[in-house]
Amino acid sequence: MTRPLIELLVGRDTSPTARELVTRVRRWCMLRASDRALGPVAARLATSARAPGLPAAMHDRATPLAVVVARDETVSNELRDRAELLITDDPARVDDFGPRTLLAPAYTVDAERHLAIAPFLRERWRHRLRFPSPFTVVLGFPSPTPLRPETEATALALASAAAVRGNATLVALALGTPVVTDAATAALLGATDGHDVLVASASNAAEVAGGLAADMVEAARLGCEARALVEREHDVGPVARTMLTRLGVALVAPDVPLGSLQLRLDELHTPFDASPVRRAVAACEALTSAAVA
Amino acid sequence: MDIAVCGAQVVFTRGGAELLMEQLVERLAAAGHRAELIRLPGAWDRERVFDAALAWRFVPVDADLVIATNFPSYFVRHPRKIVWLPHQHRIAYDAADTPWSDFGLDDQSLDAQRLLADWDTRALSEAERIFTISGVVSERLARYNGVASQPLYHPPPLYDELHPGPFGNYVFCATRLERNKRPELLVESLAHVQAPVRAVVAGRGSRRDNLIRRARELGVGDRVELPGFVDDDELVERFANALAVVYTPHEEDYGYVTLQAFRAGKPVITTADSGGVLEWVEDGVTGLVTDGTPAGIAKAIDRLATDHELVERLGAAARERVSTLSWAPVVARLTGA
Repeated sequence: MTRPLIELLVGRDTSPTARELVTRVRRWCMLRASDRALGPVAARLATSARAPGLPAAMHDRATPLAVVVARDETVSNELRDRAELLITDDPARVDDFGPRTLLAPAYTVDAERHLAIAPFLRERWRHRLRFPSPFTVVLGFPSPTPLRPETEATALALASAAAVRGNATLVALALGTPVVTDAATAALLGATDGHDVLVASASNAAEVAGGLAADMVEAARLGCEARALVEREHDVGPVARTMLTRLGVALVAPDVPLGSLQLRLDELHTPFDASPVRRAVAACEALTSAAVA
Repeated sequence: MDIAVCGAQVVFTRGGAELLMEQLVERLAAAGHRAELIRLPGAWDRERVFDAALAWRFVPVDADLVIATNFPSYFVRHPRKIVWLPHQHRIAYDAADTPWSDFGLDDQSLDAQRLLADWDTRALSEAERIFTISGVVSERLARYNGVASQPLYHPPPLYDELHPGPFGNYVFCATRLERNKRPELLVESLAHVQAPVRAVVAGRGSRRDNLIRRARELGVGDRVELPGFVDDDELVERFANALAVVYTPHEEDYGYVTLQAFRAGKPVITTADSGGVLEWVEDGVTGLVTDGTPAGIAKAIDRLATDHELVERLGAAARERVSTLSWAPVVARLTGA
């Protein structure tokens, strides 16, 4: 089956929320940039209220339109009336935009791109890669051995525990890393000390992480809660799904013909390229072919 | 209430999990509920391990309450799902890398383990309450999945029939003859035992021929008896007349053998890595905990064979240790009564 085609209207000032949203939408839909000659599209998504292609797109009233509105952007009355969806991460604008608003998390991460890895499995990976174990990562706090940015996500995926603040914190939480952070970061992300993360000062965060690394049961519990927090509060996936549904775009998982099967796989947050998906598709293939015939 | 007990079926195999499910259904019925057992076959190899889990997601279960037991039956969907877990899919967790697991450190194994751990955590977290059959299983669930649970101990099969008897001249074990139960340890230990003691290992399994061959190689063929499957009456008498029970599995979840031995007033000789057995066997109190070597097990057998005061004292403490086990509180907690 062909995936729905979405026309992407990209502005220079695309926000991080819009970028995450586009990444997730790409899993279900084909995205094409606005400067290409396109035929009919299922919907349009503008990553900014100042996206260059937006004025022209507003005239095509037959195609549903969603616009990601950055906090500093103004929205004209014409756009407010025309767009099916105005996506914002600013709760204060919900009343202003009315029922066409879709509220996105202010701090987002693509939970499907950063899969949860339980502590025992991290240990097995470290064993395979001949990493030291336990292995603690320090990011955003003073550290004698700072990591290069391109290695951060890998290090967090292998870590027994991490002392982390700043941009990498959400990635750490999504990966199910047992996290020690500071009070400000915890508050910003809605994390509770002792439940989703451990809170420590800058001077002892690394030490607390070291202690956590040695306690596998507590590390597993915190990692599990960290992941749950991300899925509940910060994952851009539900926003993307809601957006597509409200635009009238049917979600089609790649190569999975049965809707109920897809629902069951989604309930378990199964990556679309995981082996159970391939096996389920193969098992159903004959049945669905017959049904089509 | 109408209660559906869900469990995985391991075709052509019967062990502790099957007994647990059947007993549970019986006890629920005895408590006035309508209870039925629903089973789906599963496959345990790495390639097919997810198939039955996914199948459970589609099984329509019309009941007031569902009690899911072993992997992957807890993938069943129901608004009132209770889990009473005998064990996880252990070859993907603590038993990975063992000879009886096909999960290693290759990409495919690690990917499958990641997904399985994630699925397990999600399916278990749907439950209204999570119980396990032992502290060992609860500890594993916390360590591997970050999921909290409560151990809920139940009496073993034949609890009411088992009784003490004279301390005879054989050590006994009733177990599946499979690698993870390590029946070879008992046979090999016999070569080191000085006292005139025999070993009786009841049960069926793929290791039977190996046990016979090993006993012959070690020159103890005439001191090892492998009666195969024994019926309940014979089992009760075998327990009652034994000197002691030797049970040395690798990281057991619960171990009915231990509890049945205790009920029969017999001390249990085990090893330091026997898992749930150690929740019951306290060294020098209800049995003897060895280093797991044949020589170490032999030393423990000799000790009990030559010290009647010790074997009687340990046997009495063992019987006392299981005297409070009962199905009533188990049924009450599972049904929320």
